[in-house]
Amino acid sequence: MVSLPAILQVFLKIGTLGFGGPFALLALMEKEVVGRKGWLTPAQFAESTAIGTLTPGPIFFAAAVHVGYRLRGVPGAVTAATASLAPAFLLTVGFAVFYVEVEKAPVVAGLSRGITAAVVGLLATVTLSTARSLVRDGAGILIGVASFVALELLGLNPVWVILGAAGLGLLAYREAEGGPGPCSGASS
Amino acid sequence: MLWRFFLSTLAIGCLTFGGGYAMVSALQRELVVRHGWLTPGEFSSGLAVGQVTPGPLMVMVAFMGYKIAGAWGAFLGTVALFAPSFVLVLLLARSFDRVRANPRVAAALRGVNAAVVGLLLAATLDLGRASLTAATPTLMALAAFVLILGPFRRQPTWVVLVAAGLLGVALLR
Repeated sequence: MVSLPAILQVFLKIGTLGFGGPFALLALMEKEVVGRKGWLTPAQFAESTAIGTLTPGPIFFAAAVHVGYRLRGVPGAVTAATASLAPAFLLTVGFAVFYVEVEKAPVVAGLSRGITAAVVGLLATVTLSTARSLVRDGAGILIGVASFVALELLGLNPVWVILGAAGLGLLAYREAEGGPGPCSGASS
Repeated sequence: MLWRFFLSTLAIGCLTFGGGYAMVSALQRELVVRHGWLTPGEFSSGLAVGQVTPGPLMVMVAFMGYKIAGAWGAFLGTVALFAPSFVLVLLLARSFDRVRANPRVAAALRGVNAAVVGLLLAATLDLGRASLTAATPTLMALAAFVLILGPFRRQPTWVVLVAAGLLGVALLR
């Protein structure tokens, strides 16, 4: 069994050096736990990644929790989760403290307006690539449009929109399901 | 305020299937549009901080929580967003293959994935309406779109955001 300090050390390293988005994070974690440490086989690691598609939020985080659990039960999961978030958390709070100190300065107003403009462009690219990879049929387009309308025109809480979409998915895809899963990529 | 922020992020943490960016759009909707706890500029600054720091982008909720409710906001917001995923992984760890093969689960997730596109589109438009009020920011948004999508040469997201921030200091004061 892998020791907790060893898990702590590896996930602190991933949490500190894991720049560049979800795929970079998963690749770094694979390099560490499959490659350098040899704790898991590639197939076991792929299973940990796949569990992230069934849970809310970042796939990387769910995969890290699952890897920690597999290596050393619940304490391993707690260690992996904490260590993979702690460096980012501390840095982010540092930025926030600094931001609150300087936010009244005109420089910050310009900075934040410039960033906001770019974020609009970024979100547009994410919308486009998500639509291309996840919506592949008429029912999907209808659900996407319906959730947009529910949010923008009816002002519904996003949580209800997501629950409603799950319900619509059940209605639309139950008979059709049986082919490949929506995002696991594996045939069921 | 702290309590309401905590409940808001907890609901998002529990139900926002569909990856990190689904959470980005849900947070934007809740924190900026519905509750007005953050301005669009503060939200985007938080997102940029999430991009320049290592680890998952969603730790940006610590920035937003700090801005809304101080150090406790940062801590509780992060816990609320990540704890549900943590618990669910442990619950699923044993029955994972069975759950994944269940056609109802697969059908519901397909529905959620389609909704994520609607959520993202709404977040893009909200933020665009609030910030693209003149020609310069509109051109910058277009430039960012092209650079990140990368038909010519794909640029890392954080590089584009940092460059846009610096350009903003020069042009948008």
